Amino acid sequence: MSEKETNRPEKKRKKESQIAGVMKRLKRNKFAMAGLVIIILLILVAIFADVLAPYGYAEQDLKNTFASPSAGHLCGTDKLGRDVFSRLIYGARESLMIGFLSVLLAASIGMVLGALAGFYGGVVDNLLMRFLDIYQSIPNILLSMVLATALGASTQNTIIALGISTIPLHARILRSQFMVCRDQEYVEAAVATNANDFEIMWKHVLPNAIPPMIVQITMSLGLSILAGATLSFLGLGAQPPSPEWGTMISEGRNYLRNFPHLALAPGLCIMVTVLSFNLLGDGLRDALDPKLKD
Amino acid sequence: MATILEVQNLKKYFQTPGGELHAVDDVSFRMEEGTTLGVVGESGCGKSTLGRTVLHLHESTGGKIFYKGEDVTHVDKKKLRELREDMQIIFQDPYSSLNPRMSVSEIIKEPLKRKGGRSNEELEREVERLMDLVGLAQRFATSYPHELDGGRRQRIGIARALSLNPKFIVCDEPVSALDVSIQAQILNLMKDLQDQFGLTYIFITHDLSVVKHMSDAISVMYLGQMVEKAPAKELFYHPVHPYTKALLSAIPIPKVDVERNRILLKGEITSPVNPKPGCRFAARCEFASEECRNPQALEEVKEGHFVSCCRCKEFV
Repeated sequence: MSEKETNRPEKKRKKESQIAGVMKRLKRNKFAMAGLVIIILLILVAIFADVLAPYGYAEQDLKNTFASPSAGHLCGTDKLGRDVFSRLIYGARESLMIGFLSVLLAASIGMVLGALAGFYGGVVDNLLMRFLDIYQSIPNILLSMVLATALGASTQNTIIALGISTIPLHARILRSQFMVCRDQEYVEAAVATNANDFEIMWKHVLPNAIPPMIVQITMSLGLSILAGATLSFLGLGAQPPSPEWGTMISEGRNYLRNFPHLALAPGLCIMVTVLSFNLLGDGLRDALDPKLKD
Repeated sequence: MATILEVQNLKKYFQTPGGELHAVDDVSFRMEEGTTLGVVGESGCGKSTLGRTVLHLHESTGGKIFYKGEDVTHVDKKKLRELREDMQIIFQDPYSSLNPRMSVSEIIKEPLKRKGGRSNEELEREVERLMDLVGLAQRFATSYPHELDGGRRQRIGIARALSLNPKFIVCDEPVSALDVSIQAQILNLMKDLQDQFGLTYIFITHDLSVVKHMSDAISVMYLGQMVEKAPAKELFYHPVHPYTKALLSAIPIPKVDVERNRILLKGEITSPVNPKPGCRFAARCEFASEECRNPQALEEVKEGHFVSCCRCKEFV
């Protein structure tokens, strides 16, 4: 009996150790860690924007427009006297939300399609993949622009447009992973012990197919934020007075010659955010590769 | 002893871009409870496909399978579930046959959990019993497969196969991926388990010394067909089919002063895609004649010794 009791906590430790192993390998990659830290900071900023921002994002001070950066306004003010720094902070919320929600939408639909295509193969695979081929023959940004225009410009529709246009990327990656994993002998063993298709997909194939998906999702987050900003810049995404970074660049564009900070500050934010997601994605790719295990 | 499995004219064809691949063609045999049938043959001769088709892991193209006297060639889902609790498989590669994301106890527990009817406590105890049975120390229960060596991994595979309390197990080259020293341990374990539970094995291998050690009867396959079947000793001492003779002559003799008469086969293995009727070995057989082009059937040359060769009488 005593032996059993010592077994229990050990089980927990082992379960965690797989994640811990990935973290250990990730920690060795300085760039990926920098990316991770920045992303965590951004998320915190987005959550606590109300506390952190010295001004509201739409709070105007018409007597103090186009102010240069100063102690009162860290990044100056724009044409309506709104505090750029506060708007950047609120913008993190907008931009991250567009990124996370659109990827959530794309990944959840894409993964279901990819799983079905990869697992069943044959006719199902052919139909789904030819459909996605047609889908992908339309340039991504064009498709999201068309969708955003059709749905009407708003943050919510940007998310839907971006999500729908990036479904194929997720579907393809999970499909190829499922095709590799479904031919493994442990899947055959599960069949031989009466597992049904759902159990096999959920317990045997998916856990082994997921690592490349994690990388793909991380990278897509960066790309979606960038694409969201692009749409907003073009006037098809978040609408003023939204502090979405792309919208801010779009508004600052007209004053680029005299007040470059209005466009530069949100531009830098976008760059740093996307870069962080890419660095983290690259790091995860290495950390999750079981062949590099130590 | 009762007949546990009977296979009649079993066929499994695969559709390939080049045509129909005859992986298993017209194979018949019968097995008594508690015995081991060794299936030998070179790579790609359909040994594994035969085992998997018997287990319904592949759907058969033709022929009949009887399990305990009952025709189970085509069964519904419910019957298949019952069958699979009775018939299990041990895989060749202990690296790819275990899910790398599941711990040892999870792997063994999974089939039991699916079967249902046991509380968590009972499941834990059952896993402990199975681990003891196959000689796995309890401390490995929480380990992951990649942390263990090949022999221990194969023991997990055996424990998983035994978890549903089967009567019949297809062993698909269970030791060919293991070191020789560990091979012996695993083989002995399998023999012990057979004695203990009265298991019936189909033992698929390309290792002739292993099959001799394990089997009561041996059948030799060549390109999807069974060319010879005989009791183990009989086959080793009085092989009849020219292919069996060539195969057995390839066994190395660990003595310096013994002269070996190796029969060296000429030519390539003919393709199993759209094969011609007649003996498939004819193209490489030194005794081939006109009549070898006709379809061949298994003929009993001695009691329990079947050969599929139209000239077998001359070779006995």
